[in-house]
Amino acid sequence: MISQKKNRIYLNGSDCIMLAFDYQMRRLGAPGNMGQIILGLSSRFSETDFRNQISLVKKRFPIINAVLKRGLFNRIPYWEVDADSGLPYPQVKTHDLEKSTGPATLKALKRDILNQPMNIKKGELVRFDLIYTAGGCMKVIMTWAHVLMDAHGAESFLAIVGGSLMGKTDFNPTNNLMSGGYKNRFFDPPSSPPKWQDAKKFFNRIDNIASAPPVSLYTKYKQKIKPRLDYQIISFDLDETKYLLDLAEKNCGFLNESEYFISSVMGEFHNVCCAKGLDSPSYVVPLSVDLRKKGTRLPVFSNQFATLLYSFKPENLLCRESIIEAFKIQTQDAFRNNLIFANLCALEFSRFLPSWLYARKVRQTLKGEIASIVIANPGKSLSDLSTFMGIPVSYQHHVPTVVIPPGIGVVFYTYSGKLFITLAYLEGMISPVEADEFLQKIRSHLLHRD
Amino acid sequence: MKPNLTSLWIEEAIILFLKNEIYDPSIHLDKHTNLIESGMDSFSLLNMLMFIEKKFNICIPQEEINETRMKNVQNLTDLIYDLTKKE
Repeated sequence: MISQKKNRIYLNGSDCIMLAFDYQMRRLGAPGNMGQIILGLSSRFSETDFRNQISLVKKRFPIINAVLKRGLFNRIPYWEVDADSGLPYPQVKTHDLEKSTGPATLKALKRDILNQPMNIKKGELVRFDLIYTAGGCMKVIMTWAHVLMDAHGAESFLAIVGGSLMGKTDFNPTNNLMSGGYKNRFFDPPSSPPKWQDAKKFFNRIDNIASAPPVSLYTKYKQKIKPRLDYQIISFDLDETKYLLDLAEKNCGFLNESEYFISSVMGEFHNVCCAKGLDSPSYVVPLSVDLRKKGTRLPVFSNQFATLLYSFKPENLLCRESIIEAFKIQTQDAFRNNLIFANLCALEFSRFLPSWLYARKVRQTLKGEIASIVIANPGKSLSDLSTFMGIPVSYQHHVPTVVIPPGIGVVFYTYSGKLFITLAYLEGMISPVEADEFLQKIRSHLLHRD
Repeated sequence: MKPNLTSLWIEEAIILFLKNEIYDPSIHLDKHTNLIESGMDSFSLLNMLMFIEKKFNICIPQEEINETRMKNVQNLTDLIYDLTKKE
């Protein structure tokens, strides 16, 4: 369970790895480990009403401007929640592009917003940007520190801010947040030591991968790469989404679309790497396993996932069938050896180490790398986000910052029955044209048009 | 030796597992609840199948893992009942 002492909420292991990644990214000049949701609205709401709403939400969830601290003796990080702190967060900034000359201005602004760091140590954990665009439309951008909550939690939180979830749930997070028998993963401070033997299974898995450590595009080209993030998004219409999900079931089995998505990304990513002259002995892909209770509509304010590491050799990436086969074998192995629980135990170590040390350990283990590419599939977006402040939402996009290395990541998600893909990457790693080509090839691959 | 299973007992065992292990308490679960629409994903599906195979000592064939069979507890119960009769 999450320990609470009046105004003290301890971070869990998954939160701590997010914190370590945040440290790692800032160390390399990037803005930090953050997530972003963008909502497109066809009309505008009152800014005053929105600010009032933020004040109400802040009173209800003072954790959204909690200050990060560490225990004096146990060194475990915690949020110090003070409802009367008077901190000026979350901030709401407005940007008027009513008379802007074209989409390039909006694009540049969105990138600037993504690349603005957050001062998480001072309580800046969530930020809102309202962009007024031509024709009376607007965009709402919520940026949050990933250490505070995962993408599912952020969607629930945004639905509360937007009013559609306000009053629908009692917001009393139970201790029983996790599914699949992982309820007892938290070790309350003062804690019993983490389960070293279980964690060792996960470290053995890393050792196994480290026998042929990956080389990422970032490491090969880091002199040319800027620590500034860019992104591109593609979408599929309803018919295309249905068609490719049918193909996913046919190729990978029921509810296994993640496997299908990953096979498409990895096949094309291997081609991108080859075209750029990268000869890596292996590719490492971390995949999050969502451990949250299904159907939860609580923001939760902690990360509820475990990570499985997949390793692909170049010979595994020659065709769809060989990628799926390599993926299936590793998934079966992960379940046979209970690597999900092993990862949770390993994550608990991060609670006892300073962020910089944990980040260094992670890098050292894979010879300076953390992964080759990050892929995520948070699935269906929350239906409660179909309106925001009473206005229908035309679209919802997820934009993550991506841990460095690799500094490149692909996120799949569906909104209103349509599939979207966001490709986020560091500037200079691939050009915007290459990014577009990469996405178009993933599209063709998913639709079997390759 | 397998116990003499009744549909009601199978139903109750699955619902209890889903309530305790997979779904949020706010989700109403009965034998007709659509499990997929209530948020089941590949990981929770695998968890549920592992529970069923262990609990009822059966092996669910790959071709039976589809949207119709996994739609609700009623359909799952019918599948388990049929499989235990066969084995």
